[in-house]
Amino acid sequence: KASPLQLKKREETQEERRARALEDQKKRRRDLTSHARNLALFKPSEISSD
Amino acid sequence: IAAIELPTGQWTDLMKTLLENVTTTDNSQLKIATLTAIGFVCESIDSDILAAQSGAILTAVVSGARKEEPNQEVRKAAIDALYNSLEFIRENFDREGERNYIMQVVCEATQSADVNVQVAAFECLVRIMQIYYDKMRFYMEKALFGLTVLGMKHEDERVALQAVEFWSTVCDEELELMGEAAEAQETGEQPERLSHNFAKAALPEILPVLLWLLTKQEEEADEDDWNVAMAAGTCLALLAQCVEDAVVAPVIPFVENHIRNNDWRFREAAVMAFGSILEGPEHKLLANLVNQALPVLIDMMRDPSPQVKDTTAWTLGRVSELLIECIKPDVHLHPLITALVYGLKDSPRIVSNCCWALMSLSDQFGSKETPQPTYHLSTYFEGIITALLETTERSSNESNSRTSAYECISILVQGAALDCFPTIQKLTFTILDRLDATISAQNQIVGSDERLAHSELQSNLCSVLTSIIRKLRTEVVPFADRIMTTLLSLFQTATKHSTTLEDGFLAVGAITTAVEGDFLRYLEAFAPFLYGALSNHEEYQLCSIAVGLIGDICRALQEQSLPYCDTFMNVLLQNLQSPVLNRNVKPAILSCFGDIALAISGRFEVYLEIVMLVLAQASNMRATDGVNLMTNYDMIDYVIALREGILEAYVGIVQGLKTGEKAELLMRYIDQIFNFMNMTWNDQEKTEIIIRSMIGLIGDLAEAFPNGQIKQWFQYDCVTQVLREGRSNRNLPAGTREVTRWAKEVGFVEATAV
Repeated sequence: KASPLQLKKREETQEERRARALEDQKKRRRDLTSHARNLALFKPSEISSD
Repeated sequence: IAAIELPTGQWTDLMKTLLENVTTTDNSQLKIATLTAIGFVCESIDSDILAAQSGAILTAVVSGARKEEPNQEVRKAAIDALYNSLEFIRENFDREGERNYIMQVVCEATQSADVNVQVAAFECLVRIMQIYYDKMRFYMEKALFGLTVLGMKHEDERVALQAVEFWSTVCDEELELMGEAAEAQETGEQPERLSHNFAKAALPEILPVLLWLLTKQEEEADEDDWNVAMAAGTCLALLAQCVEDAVVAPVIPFVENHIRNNDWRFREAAVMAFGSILEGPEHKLLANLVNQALPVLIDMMRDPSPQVKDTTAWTLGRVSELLIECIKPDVHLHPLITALVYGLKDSPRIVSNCCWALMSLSDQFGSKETPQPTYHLSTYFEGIITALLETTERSSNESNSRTSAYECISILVQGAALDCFPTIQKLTFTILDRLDATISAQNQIVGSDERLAHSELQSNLCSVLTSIIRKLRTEVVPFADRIMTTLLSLFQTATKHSTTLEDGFLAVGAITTAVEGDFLRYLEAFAPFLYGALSNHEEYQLCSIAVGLIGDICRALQEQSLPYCDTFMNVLLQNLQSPVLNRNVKPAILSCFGDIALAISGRFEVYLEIVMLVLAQASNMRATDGVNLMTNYDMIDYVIALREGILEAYVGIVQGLKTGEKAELLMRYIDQIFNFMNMTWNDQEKTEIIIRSMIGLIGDLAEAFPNGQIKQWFQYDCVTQVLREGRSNRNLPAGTREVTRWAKEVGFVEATAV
């Protein structure tokens, strides 16, 4: 048990920092693949507009 | 030993011997030891194993706990054994007659003349409420309600603590039931269990006692201590979440009557009571009260009592976190921030709470994504950072105050607006200077405590640095050389087992995103540290971060990463085969293959065969052994992570080879990929990420083979089903629906129809 005050304090643990970094990496990976997908999606229309 | 032998049918006479000990001996020490052993055995093994003897075990234990037992030590041992057996005797407890008897014995024990027996009996009641809430209505009305209210007023704190814990447990259970009811309502179903609303019914009786207990603080309580005032505060906060609006009216008079009391205990209790009820009741009901209270609370940050200041800082943090709409920037922000910054000069505990309040303000007003041009904290930003930096200069980290202050700096940076960037740039140099100073001081460290503190300080500094780099993004480029120089020196001097390296690597990861292709300038110097971490299998967390860094580097350098890829791939493949390396690193390695493929596109051809073999092997991993149902949650989590990694790898490889115009190389592996998707889809354990990645992969494949080359695989049921799920399941996030739309649009139709 810890005091209610203690429970409310926030200290990011090493584990949380790792998790945050991992989330960030996942996001960047997703952004990159989505970017590639968006390019693919617009390609046919660009060709047709040409 | 029993836990090992009984499940395999050995030591069959153990229970018989133990039960004889209890029933035939007059030796009370033997009885106590035997009852303790019975309790431990029951706690450790499945009830099925001793099902035939459970009645006899229960009889022996309960008979020792009865009021007729003359020896109170035996009685306490019996109640402890009952506590440990409560799960074991579930079937007995389901039968009303047996349940009544057990409850009667436990309730009577709360009235024993021996306090130790009373404490054990209340502990038992807490556990019973936790496990058998659904069956407690009758006993609550008949006895428990009265017994526990009296127990909370008991002169012995140990009894009072358990009685308060009983009501905290009631609230915990009812909060869970409220959650279940809300979930059931959303899906239009009936909840499986119903709340008896014990907390609401008991409110008029227990609330006054809890408020009274709040005033029983200890003079010099350590923050790790647990006392009745703290227990009451926790219980009140749970009660507020449970009974919501009903808690407000009876608590407010207590706050009003005592907030200006001469005795610090009453002032602290009043603030604690107010802070505790901020979560649960409707905001509309609280808004006016908070508005009135804010000036008083801000003023109380100058109270002579450290306890009052500590709780006030915590309450201000609660207001910032839960009721930000009550803080009017033009009215409250200036005095509030002045009070919190003033608190940063106070004792370590108060510093930590002030940091927490400042972090809550930053979270509420700031933006972690795209920075706003300006925000409510802009005017105060530099002043707060300066005050926090001063706080971190204290030599001690008591109550984690220094760590909290660095953490607060990080959070402020993350939420900062564009007009705070000049301050953040200045901060960058301060942090780098401090890091350099810790590196120079490395050789002067004496003893393990000092080493630990030093390493923690370096971690704090790296963590702030990472936040700065992520915030400034391209604006950090002019300082990148200086940052990398410092980080490389840090890696040179850091010990192999500290977390400093991990935090330093996270900062390097942030740099790769900021400088992109320019990271090539640093790679030659950084690579030895990266390879060192990758082969440091004992420190698997560091190794895992290093694996992620390879992905970061490839994303940043794109095709420029090619000269390094042979080494990257060799190390990653070796790590996959390592029997020492923690398995949790392995899913990240699979994702990393995808990152490499995306970066070097068609050049991935040389690694294709081996990587596809590895992915096929990883696909065979199951969380079941074919006989038992899935019960190993760690294993389930691992298999899910592995499948997410496999899908990320396939996505990277398909996209990479498609970009490099080598998609036809995938033809050999199409069967493998679709069989994997089919198996994953038909497993009940799948996450939203798995669904989204599968849909994305289907679209990528459709796009890579637009002329119908693989159309028969698109006829798999799993393909239709997963796309339907992505389109129609409203619980999936927008990102998944978007990728589904994309997969449908991007030639999936063509790929399947041709």
